[in-house]
Amino acid sequence: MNCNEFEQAVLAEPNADSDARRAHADSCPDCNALERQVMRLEQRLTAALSVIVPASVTDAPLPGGEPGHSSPSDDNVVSLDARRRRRAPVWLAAAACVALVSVLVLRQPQVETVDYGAQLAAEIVEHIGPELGAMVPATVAVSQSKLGKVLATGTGGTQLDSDAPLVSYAKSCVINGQLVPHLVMQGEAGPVTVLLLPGERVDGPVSIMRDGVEGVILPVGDGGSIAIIGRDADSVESIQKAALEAVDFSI
Amino acid sequence: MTETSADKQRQLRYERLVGTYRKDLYRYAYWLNRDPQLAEDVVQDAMLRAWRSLDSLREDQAAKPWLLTIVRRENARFFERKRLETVDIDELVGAPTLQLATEDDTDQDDLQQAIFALDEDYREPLVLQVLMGHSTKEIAEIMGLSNGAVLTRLHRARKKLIENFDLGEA
Repeated sequence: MNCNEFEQAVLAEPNADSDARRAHADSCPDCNALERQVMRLEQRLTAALSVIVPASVTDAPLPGGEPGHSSPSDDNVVSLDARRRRRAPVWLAAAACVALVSVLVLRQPQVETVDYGAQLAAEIVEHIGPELGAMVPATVAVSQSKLGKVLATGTGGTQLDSDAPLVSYAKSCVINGQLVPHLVMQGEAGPVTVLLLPGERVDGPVSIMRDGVEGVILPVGDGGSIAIIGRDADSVESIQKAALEAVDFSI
Repeated sequence: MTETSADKQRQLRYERLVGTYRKDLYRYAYWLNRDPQLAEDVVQDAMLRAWRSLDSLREDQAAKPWLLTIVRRENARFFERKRLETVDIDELVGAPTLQLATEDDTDQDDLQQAIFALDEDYREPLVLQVLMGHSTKEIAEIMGLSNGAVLTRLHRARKKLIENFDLGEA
């Protein structure tokens, strides 16, 4: 790999590491510096792009059809232009939907609840795909200052015990709209990705399955969870206990 | 009228899928059109369309890119209808700013402005990759591009940001 190829690769897909890229970065100081610059950009990009979603979006009842009808017709869909002219698109639609949802709830007292753990697992699966390149064996720990900054992001902050497994990669990522620490820890059976989720609480273990990786989400403390994902079950199980014991959510 | 089991299942499926992703849909719309109110309206339109065409979604695993594609089309429809002029970047300075998910940081504001200033062709794949976590292949499918074109745009987007934004030392 030459410098031009390295630049193309690291600027297009910063987290898709490879042996060739690593070897070039180790041998070329300029490219090594570029990679560090790009990783700094990535961390700041994630934070800059994570705008808080207004409550008018998150709290609005979901639009949907009346029971027994297949779907709303085009006639029932108010045009975007008309809504913007009235300057009250969201609350008006929300009020109508609240009325509709109320009818549904009253008629269906035993409504099936949405599986929160499955939703969280799906979100995590979506997130880790492009970043699996960071989950590689390593013997060099990420700097304490960088790790400290990453752990400080997210709800309430997080601490790692000094006996925690070696952390070779750390960045802040967005899961369910919140910045959370995304780490790679080195376990006895291989590296694992660990997502620290202080604001997400699952009731019990939730499996994560994706092509090439598997893992689990486990509750931690009173209000948080930790997701551990590895190339195989052995890598996850070998580090699970140590990772759980090392995490402290300061909520 | 009695709700059928199929209707109930459809409603639950819709709520599960759209409920999971609507924050992401809003953020995607916001970074596409750079207007919080417009983003909200586009997402609402998109969710209605998703309800209407839910049966065309074969696998729930494909829900996120499917929904993002709907948002993308709704956003494009709006601009086709309005035939807006190119927005002057200076107008965005006065636009309502959104609270960031981190503490207020002038550097963060500067980076947001730098992202705003990117051409949409570069900004969109960057958002899909960094914020939505999509692979190059998934981005290519959403945007109707080749993998190579996506990689080129991502490369150029980051290069512009590095050139125009002071990242400071590590």
